Parts: sequence; structure tokens; C-alpha cells
Amino acid sequence: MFDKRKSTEIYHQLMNGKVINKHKIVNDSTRAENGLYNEIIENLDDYSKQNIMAGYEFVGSEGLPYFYIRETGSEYISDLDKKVYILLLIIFRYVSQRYSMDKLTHEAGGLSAFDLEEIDNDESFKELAHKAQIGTASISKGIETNLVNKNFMLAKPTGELLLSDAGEAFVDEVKSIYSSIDL
Amino acid sequence: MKIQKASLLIKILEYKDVFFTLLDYVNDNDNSNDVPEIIYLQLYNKYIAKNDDAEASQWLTLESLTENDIFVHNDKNDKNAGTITLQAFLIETLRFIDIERANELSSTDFEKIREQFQSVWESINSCSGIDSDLYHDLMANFNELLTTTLSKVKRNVEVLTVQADDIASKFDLRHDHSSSYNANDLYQKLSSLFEKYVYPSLEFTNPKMEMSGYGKLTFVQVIDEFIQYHAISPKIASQIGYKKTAVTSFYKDIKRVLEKLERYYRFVEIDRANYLSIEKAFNHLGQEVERLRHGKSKNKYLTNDLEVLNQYHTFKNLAFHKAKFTKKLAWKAPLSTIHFKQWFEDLKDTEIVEEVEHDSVFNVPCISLQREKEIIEWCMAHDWDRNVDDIHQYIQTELKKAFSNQYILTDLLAGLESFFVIVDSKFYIRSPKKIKSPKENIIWIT
Repeated sequence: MFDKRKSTEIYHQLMNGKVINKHKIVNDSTRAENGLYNEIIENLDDYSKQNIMAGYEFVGSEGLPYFYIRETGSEYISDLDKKVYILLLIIFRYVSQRYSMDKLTHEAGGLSAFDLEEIDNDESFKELAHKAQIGTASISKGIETNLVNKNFMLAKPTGELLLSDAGEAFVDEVKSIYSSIDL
Repeated sequence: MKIQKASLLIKILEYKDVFFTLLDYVNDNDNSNDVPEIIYLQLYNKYIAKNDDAEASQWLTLESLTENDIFVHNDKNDKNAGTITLQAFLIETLRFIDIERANELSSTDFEKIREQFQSVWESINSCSGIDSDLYHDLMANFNELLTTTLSKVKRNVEVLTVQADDIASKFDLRHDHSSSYNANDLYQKLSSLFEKYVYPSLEFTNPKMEMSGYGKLTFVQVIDEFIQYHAISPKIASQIGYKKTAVTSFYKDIKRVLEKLERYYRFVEIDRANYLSIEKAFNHLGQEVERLRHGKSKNKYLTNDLEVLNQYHTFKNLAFHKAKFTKKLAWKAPLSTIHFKQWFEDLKDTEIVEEVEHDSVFNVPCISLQREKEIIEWCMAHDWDRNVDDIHQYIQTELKKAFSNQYILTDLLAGLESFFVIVDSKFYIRSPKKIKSPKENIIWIT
């Protein structure tokens, strides 16, 4: 049986272009199961049917650790996709140059305020963000709007940002594509 | 001014940090022992001249150190003009003091040692016999070489151990997410350590190692030849054997260093692969940005049809779907003719339905007061069942029984009305819940 409070929250999150991840960050900065994700899994057929009837493709039912909805028929990525991809690539580049990539996934790590400031001050990142029309404000503001608010990054109670399940899936995709490509 | 060598060395060691800086320069610049004199002059002015130590400020001047053969000063006509050359013994002494600044033995160093041993062996093998003067000279040379090699190999193991510890401490920064850790740099350092120093050390001390190339003997094979040559002098043979064992016993220590480094190597290799993948991904995107510079492309911004972005499938066509359902008109804005026009358009689109009076299809059912009174009285007197499945059917059946042929459909309406009036709503409830009244008068209604 579906949970009315959770289903309402799921509806709002999906309609706002957010992803619903399998895990969330709890008060002690560790990852715990996300109740909204479990709610969908327990009533997968209902949620899937409901979104299909509303004209959306319900992505995630094929076993992904995250769910989101999209309208079918568009050939290319959306503006939001472009911003999210580019912001994540900026973060990956910044971290890989200075730290282990574990910083973005390990609960003891996370992107700190200092790191965000460093990203904001990097000229090559600034140019890329400008070309991606991420906004006139700082890149860190773009990260908050497009990554944190859309659940691609999760904020620890102490403020550091970690990749969510969807964010981690993107790191894996980048690695798998470029591990075998010579540019 | 000539100064006693021992006193000068003691003074140099008092200011060893200055000389370590020179050694670092040598280590970073192909070990040529040459250092620009300006570096020493700056160090002298900063750390020596300003001290109250008058002896140091006199003895450790550039001129004094040159005069006392600590430095070799290259004159103006030399191609290395403006540089000083540090004497080899000073370099060795400094490296001896600080193990972290000592150099590992490279494959070239080991090859030189091996060649020296083979050369001595070939000379001894071709000399007239163990009684000749040449033999004694060559054996003295051999023993000195063996002792030097033993100390060099021992020292090399210490240096490699320090290097492995350094790698380990750098690798530990990986787990401290606020300290700098570059997988690529560490990988390069590890690879270099393996290829240039650890593997040659292992090969040199490996008793089972075989050399490629005609007539070439490994260090161990040369020593074995010496031992065999002295089979008739067991004392000499056993002495050589002990030293050989001392050198080859370091094989296990180097193997231990190798195993330690290999453990880190596996992790660093994965980190480096990740680093390279992300570098490629970012540079690939950078190529698209490059095209937008200086009017190279008609677009000013990155477009959504770029292959470099459309190759990803982690998510696609994310959107703020609610935006599509927001009001197109800002009604909170000050009133204007736009509002009127919108209202007028809405009005035009609204279908106006005129009210039509319809003739009543059915006559309003009526019931006489007398009949109504009879039914109320019947209800009051009736002994109601405790559990009724269908109240409509129940009342109809009971009224039919009570009024037999006189029963008409409107009686049911009056009956229902009376029933709901006389039966207190507190005492009945729709199933399946059950409410107990104080008098236990319960009526089940479904």
C-alpha cells in the first residue's frame, strides 16, 4: 500500500526535475536508505504506471540506484542535463588533480567550502561554466542550484558535499568511456 | 687562509642545513656536483654571515672553502663560469649523514660494479699464479671492491626502504581528504623507483640471475668463479664466500621493499587510471570550448547537440516539469488593459447556457398526514431487529407486513424518515464497527 505523504513528496521531487536516490545522508554524515526510493520500489508498478499515464518515461525501474522522470521524444540532452554534466566534470577534474576520487564518495570526505572557493577562482572552470550558461553567479552557486538541489550531490550536516548514487553513476560512466579512448 | 681540514669539516657540519640545500640542488640537477655560486652566496649571507659566529663567517666564505679544497671554483674562462663544484667526499659525507638525501643505486651503477668485478676476475684468471705480485695487487683490489660493494648495497637497501616509507606516507594522504594527493605523480615516482632502482638491485643480488650477452657474468657468478679459483686455499675461498653471502642476503630485504611498493602500486594504478579518464573527459570537453574561442564557431555557447555531452546516458532530458503548468499571466501585476482583454477573450470562449424550464416528469409523491401518523406510531411500537443488513429492504418488508394490501411506495419514505428520527444515531453504526449503547440497543446497518 502506498504512503500518501511519501507519494506526494515523490511527485514534487520528480516534477521538479530531481532524482530520487537509493541512499541519503543522515545526521551522523553516513549514508542510509532513502525512504522515498524504498516507497517507489515497494509500489513500483503503481508509480511506473502513474508516470507513464501522465506522459513521462519513468527511468530507474530497470535496476538503477536512482529514479527520475523525463518526457520522451527529445533527441538531445536538455539544458539541465548540460549544466549538471558540466558541473560534475568540473568537480571531477578539480578533485582528481588534487585528491583521490574517494573524496567525493567516502563519508569522511566531501567537497568543502575551501574546495568550492578554489573552483570559483579557477579561470578554466569559469570559462567552461560561462560557455555552458550556468549563470552569472559563481560556479558554487551553480553547484548548489543544479547539483545539490537536484540530488546529484548530497550535503553532509557539516556542509561538505558528497556524490549521490546518480552522481556516482556518472563518475563510473565517464571512467568506462574514457578508459579505452585515446584523445 | 689555510684551515685545518678536521676543524673545517666540523664547522661545515654545524651548518649542515646550508650544505644540504646545495646537495638538494645537486640531486635535482643530474648529480653533476655543480651549483651556481649565487645560491651559496645567498645561503651564506642569510644563515652564516648574520650569526655571531665569527669563526664560521670567516672560514665558510666562498674564497675560504675554495682555498681549502671543499669547493672547486670555476674561473671566468671556464664554460661553467659562475658555478662551484662540490668535492665528491663532501657530497658523500652529506648523503651519509642524511639517508633521505642519499641516492639509490641505478642499473648503471650496478653495471659499473659488475664490470669492475668481471675485469678483476679476468685479470686474475689470466695472471701466472697466486704467488705472483700481480695476483696480490689484483686480490687487494678485489677485496677493496667487495667491501665497497657490500657497503653500497647495504646503503642502497636503506635508501630504498626510506623511499618506500616516503611513498607510503604520500599514499596515506589519499585517506586524508583535505591533504593534497596526486595519483599521477605518485604513480610516476613508483614506476621510476621500480624500473630504475628496485629491479636492478634485485637483479644484482639475485643468485639465480643470468646475464644476456656472450661471456658476461653476473656479480654472483664472478664471485663463484673466485671461490672456485681458490678451491685449493679454503681459507680465502670461505672469506670470499662470507662476503658474497653478506651481499646476496640483501636480496630478501629488497624483495620486502618490492612487495611493500607493489601493494601501493596496485591502488595507485587504479587511482591513476581514474585520473587519466577524467583528464581525457575534461580535455575532450575543453576541445569544444576551444572551438568557441575567437570566433572559430558560429555559436557563442556550448549547445545541447554536442556529441561530447550526448554520449552520456546516466540521465537524459531532465527538466523542471512543473514550469510547464505555471500561469502564463501575472495577475498580481497592476491592472491594465491586458487583464481586460484576457477577461473578454475568456468571456467570448465561455458557452452561455440559457435556463430552460422543464415540465416535471413525475408528480411529487404525496402522503397524507393520517398515513404518516400511522407509520410513526408503527415505528414507535415496532420491535426492531438488532442486526439489519439492508435498512431499506427491512422497513419495506415490515411495512408490507403491517399494512398488507394498503402499502404503497411512499410509505417506505415515511418509514425511513420516522426510523431515523426515533432511533438515536448514537445507537447505530454502519458495520463492521460496533458501538455499545448503555442499554445494549444496537442496530447494525450496512
